[in-house]
This record gives sequence, C-alpha cells and structure tokens, in this order.
Amino acid sequence: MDDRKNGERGEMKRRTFVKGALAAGAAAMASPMLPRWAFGAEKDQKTIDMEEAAMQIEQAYKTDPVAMRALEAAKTIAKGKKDLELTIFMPAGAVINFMPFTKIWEKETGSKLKFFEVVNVEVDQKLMQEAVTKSGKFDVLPTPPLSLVDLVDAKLLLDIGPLAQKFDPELTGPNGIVEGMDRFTMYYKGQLWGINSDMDIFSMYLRDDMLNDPKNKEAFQKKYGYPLDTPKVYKQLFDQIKFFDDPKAGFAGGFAYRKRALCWMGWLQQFASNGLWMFDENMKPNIDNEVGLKVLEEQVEIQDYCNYKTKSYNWNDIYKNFAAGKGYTAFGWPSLGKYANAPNTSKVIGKVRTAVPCGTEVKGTLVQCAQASLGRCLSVSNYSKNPEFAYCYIQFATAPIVSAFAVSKATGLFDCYRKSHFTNPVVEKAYPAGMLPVLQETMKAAVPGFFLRGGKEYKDALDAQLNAAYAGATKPKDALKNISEEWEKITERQGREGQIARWKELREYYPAAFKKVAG
Amino acid sequence: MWKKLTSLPVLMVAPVQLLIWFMVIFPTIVLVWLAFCYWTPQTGKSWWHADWTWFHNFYELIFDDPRFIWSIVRTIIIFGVCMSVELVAGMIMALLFQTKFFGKKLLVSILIAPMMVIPLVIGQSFYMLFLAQGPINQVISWLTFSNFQFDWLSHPIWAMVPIMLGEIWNWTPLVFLIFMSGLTTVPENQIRAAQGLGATPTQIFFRISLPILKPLILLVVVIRGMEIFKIFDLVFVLTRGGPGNSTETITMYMYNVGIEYMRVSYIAASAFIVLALVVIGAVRILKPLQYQLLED
Amino acid sequence: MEKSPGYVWKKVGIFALRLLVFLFTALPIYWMINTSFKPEMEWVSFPPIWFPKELTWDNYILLFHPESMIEQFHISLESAWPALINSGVISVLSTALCMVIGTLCAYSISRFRVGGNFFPMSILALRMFPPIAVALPVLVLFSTVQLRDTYLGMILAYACFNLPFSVWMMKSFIDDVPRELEEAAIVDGMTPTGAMLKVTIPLVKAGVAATSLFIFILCWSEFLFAFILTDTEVATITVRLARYSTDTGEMYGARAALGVIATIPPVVIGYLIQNYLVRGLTFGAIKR
Repeated sequence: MDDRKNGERGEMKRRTFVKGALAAGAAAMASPMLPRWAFGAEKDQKTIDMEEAAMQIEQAYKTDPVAMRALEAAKTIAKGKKDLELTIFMPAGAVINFMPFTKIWEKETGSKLKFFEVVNVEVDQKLMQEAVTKSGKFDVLPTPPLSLVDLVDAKLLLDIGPLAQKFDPELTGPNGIVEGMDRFTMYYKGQLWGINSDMDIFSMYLRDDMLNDPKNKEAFQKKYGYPLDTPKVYKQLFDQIKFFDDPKAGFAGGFAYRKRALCWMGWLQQFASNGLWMFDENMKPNIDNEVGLKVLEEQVEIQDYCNYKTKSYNWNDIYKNFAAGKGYTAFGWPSLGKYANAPNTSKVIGKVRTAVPCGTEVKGTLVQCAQASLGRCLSVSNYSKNPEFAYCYIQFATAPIVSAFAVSKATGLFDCYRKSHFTNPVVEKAYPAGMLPVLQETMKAAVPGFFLRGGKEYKDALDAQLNAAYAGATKPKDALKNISEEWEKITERQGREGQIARWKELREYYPAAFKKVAG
Repeated sequence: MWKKLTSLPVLMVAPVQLLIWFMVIFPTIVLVWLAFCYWTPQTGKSWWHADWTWFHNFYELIFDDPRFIWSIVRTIIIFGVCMSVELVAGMIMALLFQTKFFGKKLLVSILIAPMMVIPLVIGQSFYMLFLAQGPINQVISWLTFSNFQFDWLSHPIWAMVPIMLGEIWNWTPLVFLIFMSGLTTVPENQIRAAQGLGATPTQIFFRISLPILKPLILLVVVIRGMEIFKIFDLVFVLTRGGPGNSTETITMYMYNVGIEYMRVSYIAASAFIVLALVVIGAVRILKPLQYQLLED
Repeated sequence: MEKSPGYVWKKVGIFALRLLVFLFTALPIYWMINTSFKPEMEWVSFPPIWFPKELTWDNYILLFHPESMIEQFHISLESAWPALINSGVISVLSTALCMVIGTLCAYSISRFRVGGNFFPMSILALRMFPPIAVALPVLVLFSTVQLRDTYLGMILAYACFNLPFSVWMMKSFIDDVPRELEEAAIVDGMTPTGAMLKVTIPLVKAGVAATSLFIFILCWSEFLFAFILTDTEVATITVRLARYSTDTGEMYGARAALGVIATIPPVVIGYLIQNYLVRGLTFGAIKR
C-alpha cells in the first residue's frame, strides 16, 4: 500500500520535473534566436582595430599587380555564376590571417568564402581522409611541407604549374618567395603544388634588457669567465639559461618544447648544427652515435631550468609566458616576435632581442641551423569543382602587398615568406624593431625537415621516442636506437629507392656552412 | 524451401540481416581483402587494385611491432584494474545503500547519473580536474600539507590514472545497480538462520551472499569487459595515446596508425588479430552464461 | 536494540562513506557546470576556483553567437546549433530504424526461435567488434557510394551497431508476455502479424519506450563513428565538442558549456528510464 503511494507520488514528482525541464529547455532553445544586443554586447577595441586594418587594405590592394591579375581572372570566371562558393580548409587560428581581405574578395567577385577549421594536430588526418574520400568538399587546402610528398602521391593536389604560368604570381624576382626554402615547400618532382602562405623557421628570442644589464654582465663574467652576449653556440645558451633561472622568483631560465608533437624540433636543430646528416646517402639513419647522444643528454639536462619544470607546455603556453616576461629565452617561430610585440598580449615590448639560432663549432666553423619544418602552402584540391577559381584566390591571398596584411596580423599564425615582406611598412610595424633583417639572415640557415614520403611518420617516430626520453621513461641511448630502427622500417616500407632520390634532392638545400663541414 | 524462406518468421528478421550484411559483413570482407594487401592512399591506386602481400601484415604486427603488442597489453591491464575496482566499489556501494534511509531515492538517482554522461564530456571534465594546477592536485595538497603540483597527463605511467578513473567513474553505478538488485535476491531465511547460528555480517556476506552473486559478477565482467576493450573516447581526449605511446590502447593505436597515417591495410590486419583475441576470450567465458542468457 | 559504543562510530562511518561516494560522483559533474559559468580568466587559474567569482553566461552565448570567437580565440566555428540538430535528427531516426527492425527480429527470435542459438549470439557478437576496425572499410566504402558525411550513412551505421541492444532488450520484454495471449488471439481469427501488432506490442509499450530512449542515449553519446564519418555537413555534437580546441589554448569554458548542454538530454532520459537501465545494459539478462 505504502509502496504504491510512494510510486504514485514518485510518478507525479517525475511528471512535474519533466514539465519544468521541458519549459526550461524551450527557453534555452529560444535564446540563440535572440540577437546579440539582447545580451548587452558592445564593440571592443579588437573589433575597432580589425575595422581600421581593413580600411588600409582597401586602398593598398589595388596597387598590387599580382593581386589585380588574380582578381580580374576570378571576376571573369565568377561572372554569371550564382552561388559560387569556395571552401577553404585551414588550421584553427589561421582564419584571422585571411580576415582583412575576405570581404574584398567576396565583394569583388560576388562569391562567398567558407572557412572550415580544425585543430592543427588534426589537419593532416583530415587531408588524408579527403584523399581517400575524394569528396571535393574543399577547394583550397593548407598543405604542410611534411605532408607535401604524401599528398601529391595520394593524388590530392592539383599541379598548378600551368595556371601559375598563365597568371604569374611572381614566385621569383625581387618580390618573390624566399629562395631555398621555397624549393622544399612548394615543389616536388619538379612540379609546383602550391604557393607558400606561411614560412615557419625557428629564431632565438632573448631578453634584451637582461643582456644589457651591467649587474648581470658582471655576475656572468665572474661565474662563467666570458662576456654575456648573444649566444653563438649551444654551450653559451645553456650557461645563460642556468644563470638566469630563478625558481623562487617564478622566472624560468628558458622555455623548451617538451609536449608531445613538439619535442623533435629542438633536438633536430641542435643535432643538425653539429654538421651531421641525419641520414646517409643510402637513407640509413645517422643519429645513433655519440653526437646524437650528447645532444639528447644536454637537452634532457636543460629541462630542469626550463618551463618551471613542467612538461606540458604547448607552444602557446610558451608564447604567453615569454610575452608575460616570465622567462629569459625561447626558441620560437616568427609569430612569437609578433606576439611579444603586440600591446594587448605582451609585457616585454621593446625588450626582446632576436638572433639567428645558436649553433656548434665544428672543425673551426660555426654552423648555425634553424629548424624550418613547418609552414604552409595553399594548394588547390584535385577534386575541387572550381580549380581555376580556387587558384585565383590563392594567388590573390599570397600576392606581395595583400599578403603583407595577412602576415602582419599580430595574433595570426602566418609569417613572412616573400622577400618584399621584409621591407613592407605594414609588416615592419608588427614585428619588434630590428627583427626582420635578423629573420632574413635566419632563413639562410634553414634546415629542411623530413620532406620525404612518410615524412609525418619519421617525425612521429622521432618525437615519440624523444618525448619518452624527456619524460624519463626511456634512456637516451635506447631512445636513439629505437628511433633508428623505426626510421629504417619506414624507409623500407616507403620504398628505399624513391627515398634516396628525394633525400639527395633535399641535401642541396642545407645551409652553406653545414655543407662545407659535413662534406 | 521457398515457403520457409518467405515465411513470416524469416521475413521478420530479414531487415536486421540486410543491415548487418550491409554495414558489417560486407565491410568485413573488404577488411579481409585489405588485410592481405598493402594499401595506403599514397600508393595512388584505388584499393581494389592493391598489391597482394599474403601474411606480411600479420607477420609484421605480431613479430615486429612492439607498439601494437604493448597496446594490447595495456588494454588488458586497464581492463583488469578497472574491472576489479568497479566490482569492489560497486559491491561496497550496494552494501552501503542496502538499508533505507532518508533521501535514499534521490541519492541513488544522482549516483547513477554518471552512466548517462557522454564519455567525451567525462574525458574533458577529468582533463580539467587533473591539470597540474587543477583541483585534484589541490585536494591532495590539502590532505598531505604539501604543494602538490604533479602533471598527471604528461607522465607516462600516471597518465593512466585519469583514464582509468574516468572509466571507473562512468560505469561503477551500473555494477552498483546490478549488485543492489542482486543483494535483494539473497534469501532472507538463510541470512536469519546464519545470524541465529552466530555468524558475523562479514561471514554472512562472504559465505552466503557472494556465491549467490557469482553469476551476476561473471555477467558484469563479460558485458563491461567487451566495452572496456574498446575504450577510446577517454583516451582520445585525455592523452591521445599519452606521452610517447605510453597510454595507447588498442583502439587508440588503430586510430593513430590507421587514420593519422592512413595505413589502412595494416590496421585491417590488426583488427583481425584483436577480434580473434576477443572472440577466444569471450567464448570461453560466455559459454556457461549462454544458457542463462537464452533461457530467461 | 542495545546501542553499543561501536554503534555510533559505525553510523558515522557509514554516513561518511556515503558522503564520500556522493562527493566522488558529483565532483566531475560539478566541475563541468562550474567551469561553464566562469569567465575566461578563471578557467584554469591557480589556485583552482571552486565557485566562480564572476558568474557569467558568456560561454553559453559564445556557443550560439560565435562572432567574437575569431578575435578572442582565433578560430571560426559556426554556432553549435546545427550540431545539436544533427545529433537530434540522427539519434531519433536511427533509434526509430533500430527499434522497428530490432523489435521485429526480437519477436521472431522469441516466438519462433529463428536461427536457433547461433543467430541471437551472433547479434550480440556485433558489440565485440572493435568499431574502429569496421570504421575503416566503412569509410572507404561510404566514400565510394557518396554516403560519407550524410544523414543516411550515419543513421545506417548507428542503427546497425545498436541492434544488439534493441534485439536483446525487446526479446526480454517480449519473453515476459505469455504466448497464450497471442495464441488466443489467433484462435479468435487474427493473423499472426495482427496478433503481434494488436496484442503483444501494446503490452510491451513500456519496454519499447525504455529501449528507444536507451538507444537514443547511445546514439547521442557516440563519438568514434561520428568523428571518422562526418566532416562539415552532419557533424554531431560529440564531434563538435572535440573541435573547441585552438592552438592558443583549449576553450575550456565553451567546451564545458557545450558539455553541459549536450549531457542534459541523456541524463534526463536516463532518469526517466532508470528502472530499465540494468535490463538494457545487460542485454536483458538481468530484470530488475
């Protein structure tokens, strides 16, 4: 009897609860349909800035012949076509680089631009899926150089050589793309597969104010026996990191990349600066030796003075902390320079010194290497329904003056890639004073990464083992042995002949000093 | 014969059969084909033109791929630990909530909520909880009077803890519910007789209740085991395979190698190896249960 | 009853244990709700903030009015509304499909023992298949027939992989209905199909409702298939949840907000069918 009453009451309670929930749900569902102003939003400084920037480009783009050629061609194609749409696949965060001129394109051609973004780590996977599904959903693809060979072999990219000949995006010449680095990011098998929209290279960032401080200079000279200045070799850099590390004050000596997927760059850069090829002529790994071991051990040792001893810092955490003035040095892409120079993100404006990454002295020569494995080029999908239209957009977006606006976006991901960028006033305003000439020097020291078939797999094998070694799960010697074995397996699987040929091609692009020492 | 085929009973199961053939049997045939070939999108050919390589994939998986073997071992470890904790915790909870008390109904409703939460959301919640500067570390700091700032998710071994805790948190309520209803089936007179003979509650539990619950325990192990073996959502959000590959479970491994590198035929072969393991394991445990499941 | 001194400790101990269990259960849920109401600065602050100093609806607004997302987080996502609709449509339709064909099959197995013992166990074996193994060839096949990233593809996939639940759950409900009722109806002149539709099904109405809601929860919460088989068109809410990370940091607040919204339907439904949860999750083996 009691149970039944309880049951009934329970039923009633349940019913009223459901009614209440439904009412709340209905209210919640209606809320998205209320306009933004209903919540009391107002324009903030960022929106105003964005509008200001757009106004400048409104005049500037007309003075860019490359952009105008692309626009005219696009307008001819778009004429009479209603509902023309381009889908642009981009890594998350890159869309902000396209914002300045999206409205211009849409207005001029009367077409719409759709952006599809995923997190950076998933871009490769989505590209590979697209290669399998051939859906033609994306028109413009962000090809990373590590996957260039794989994507071309998987027949995902369109050879835009003929189109480039027709419309001339000025890839060479005084406004052209930086030489050396362009060969291994855009070309494969002698054909053109995309136009660079971002060139990533590691620079060394230091705290200028701390280097100039006479008290620091004195103390350092006393402790280490040589003057405090921009480090030229890794030993000097590590000494300085140890010197400036101050855990009690919450100040990190340096910032190191120890998160999964980021570990490989620092080690590879330091290893290359020892003048050793990572593979020999027959694509046999050349890292399991005393040089590789020494580099790995030094990298493990310096961890204690970096990142306040945590290992989970993503690159944006490193950016944030360096720009907040909480560390002495970091290796970073050019975007760190912009980040540390922007008023709303940085507390160290004017206090940042950039330099070509330090190197190692080998046989009397200073070999400086800057890791340049990332970056992006914009490609046209092989399955796009409007390939020529998509190409025109790419040419427009990477045109010398238009792209300067993209590159100068302080919080965006894209960085200088045309020679004209280094002297463009819009770009100069975004970067710290004096950084652009240094960046140009750095690009001469660029070292290509695993731009082979299965490039991602080589990189992942290296990264996974390094990550384990940094976390203390594997001994350095074992890590290097495992890496070599993995690399061998990958080479066998991908076809040694093809890899040897491609590796021979890539060796040409190593810096001059390196080639002199390595032979 | 034709009459039998178009008879009502067979027609009724036809749609299910069709769907299974379309979604499972046919892809499995493709999977078999792929497992004996070498195919990735980089070969440039369509998959039906792939090169036949006999048992190469299987050989490489079993003898030349420690990462794969370790992922299987890890998944078995996760299964063992999670299953044991869930059983013990579920049993303790069932015993705790056996008697009526004020607010029992409401509390039980809240306690079974974790089963309904989307696993991905659980993963994201635990991610935030186990951050180096997160609340779990803070609570541990309070309890140990130290400054505990451990980075759970970046440690090759301890990163397993959030994953296992997430799985346990998600499904212990099910075990709790099953045991709670199971405990009510223990005959009252047996307990009273034992009490009359002077047995302690512990003895009653271990000698009377537990044997009656044994088939339930077995059932839970099989049913949850099947699902734990496929654990993916939590691993994906929390560690993606962890520092290095140290928290890679079977499904995470197959995702990383199959979808990231698109080594489709390799993963097809691995799928069969895993399936063989699971079937062998399940058949051995399910056989005695078969009668209980079907005769009900 | 004599109250020995140990009695009070025992009571306190049991109360403390119950409290501990409750706290352990509530903490992750609480933290999720907590974070969803925090402003950006408080998301991962140190020390962690247990109750927002500044309650704000911003995260929820951001989900459905993502115009400021570009400047703040440098990612352009559309509103989460389509993802919710996609999840709803796919879940409802695949539940319907799964229930219809599953119930038919369950009835056949229960009454006519079609397929003997092998057929029902083979349906159960579907759950043993690692879904990723099936997802790969399905990805390839679906692309060939243009079914990837479509409603139909997802519905078929979900309906198929929840068949074990619908078939076995409905079988256990139908088993509860005595055969004599149908036999009496047939004797009275109904066709077997008529008997099923007019006699048995109405009697298992509660079971149908419970099973449907249960399968709805499973479809709603599924992640792997949705992640591999969708892109832009039919991204479900679980896929959407995974996309709120940018390179400049995870958007914890927005993810928490979407997590809260996404979890409300299953939790509410779970509460409604809590009496049938055990039966569902053990494929009908245990009837509570």
